[in-house]
Amino acid sequence: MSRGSDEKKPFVDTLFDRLDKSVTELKHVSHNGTIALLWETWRKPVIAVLCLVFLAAIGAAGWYAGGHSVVVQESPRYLNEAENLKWANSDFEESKQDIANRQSQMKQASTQLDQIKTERAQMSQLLKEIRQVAQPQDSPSITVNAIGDVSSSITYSTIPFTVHNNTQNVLTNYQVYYEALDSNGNILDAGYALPESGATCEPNSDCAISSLNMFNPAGSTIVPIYWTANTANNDWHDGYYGTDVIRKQF
Amino acid sequence: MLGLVIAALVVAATTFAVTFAVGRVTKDPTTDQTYLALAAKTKEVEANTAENRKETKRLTEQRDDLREQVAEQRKHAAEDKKLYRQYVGDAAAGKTAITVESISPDVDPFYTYIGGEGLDKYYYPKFTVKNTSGHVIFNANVDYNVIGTDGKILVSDENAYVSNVVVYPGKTVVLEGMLKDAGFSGATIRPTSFSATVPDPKYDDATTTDKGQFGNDVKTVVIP
Repeated sequence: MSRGSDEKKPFVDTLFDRLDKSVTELKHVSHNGTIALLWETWRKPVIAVLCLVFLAAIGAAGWYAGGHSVVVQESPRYLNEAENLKWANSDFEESKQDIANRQSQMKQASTQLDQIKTERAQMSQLLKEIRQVAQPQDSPSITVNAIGDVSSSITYSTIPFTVHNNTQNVLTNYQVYYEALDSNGNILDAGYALPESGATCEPNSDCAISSLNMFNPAGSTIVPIYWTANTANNDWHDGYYGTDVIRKQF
Repeated sequence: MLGLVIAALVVAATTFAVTFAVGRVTKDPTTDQTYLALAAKTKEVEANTAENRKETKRLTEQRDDLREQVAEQRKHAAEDKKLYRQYVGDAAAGKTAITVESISPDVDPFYTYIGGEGLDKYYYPKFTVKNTSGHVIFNANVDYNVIGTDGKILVSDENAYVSNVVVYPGKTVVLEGMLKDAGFSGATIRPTSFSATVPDPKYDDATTTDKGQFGNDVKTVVIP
């Protein structure tokens, strides 16, 4: 790199010049007292550098001591964070409590559920039976259309029933079994009604049957329960009526 | 020379004081280990809380589901109980499938009406029994003995029955028998055994027979 000779020498060149000069002078130290000369030349910059180093050391020590004089545990940031931790702990306790609450609520609900299920299981077979008898079995061959008025002789009572033959066959034998119930659903008597001897019932027609019974139905409710129907070809059927059957209170 | 030393000391002290102040003011406590440990602890606790809240949410859903099931089952149970109360009487289950409540040793009303002239005397004993089987009963039968005043069995294995009925549990039904008199006045009618047709719990639309013996505490009646 070329520079104009009139330019000021840069610092680096000066430094090298000085170093070169120093080395050259050092060669003559022993015999012409150049150390004194050297000290004379370098005294001021060396002292200045030493002072600066000393000041820097004091500064660094001051800065370090200043930093460490701060008690972190008492600083606003630390105190703020400590407060955060306090709230966080409080939230945590609350969340644990929430879980405990849920678990106890679930336990309670489970206990209730088991209890109800056990209760229902105990009743289930019986309720199944009740539901079953409440439903008519298939479609009955004969349905009761009407229950007539009771007529009583000295020792017997007769109840007339009108039944309908729902089949496409002539029925040669057909009966309706009934119960006489009191107001509490207790059965006071059970009887049956049948046609007059030899009478048949044509398909899809109404036919009369009647009961003959020593029980006087006054005050009771007559409820048809069960039926049988037979044809000349012995095509025999039977079944229970459901609870929606026609009934009559005497 | 003294002035120079004092000046140097003043400069050193001032430098220390200034840098001390700067160091103190610029100290960032958040970079301190104590602070960092505290902040880490806070984070950890907050993370645990978040985890717990997630768990609570899950448990809340489960709890609500359980509560729904309880409500559902309660509804069914209420329907069950309504149906139960509608048909079932008190004391639905007992020691035996049927329990004798009373026996009425009625004489044939026609015989009584006629005055007994030229007729055999028959009793039509009526047994009012309670369904204590815990099932619906379709047919019921009671066997009984007639026991003389001396304790001898005058007649054994007579029976009274009812058929093609629907007897709900806890309800009573009347079974009728027929007994030809042989000087039974003063004798005792003692039920011995029973059978009842009930639905078979194992099979739909099938029935089974519940049979048994009455105990010594069975109800008896003395024929007038």
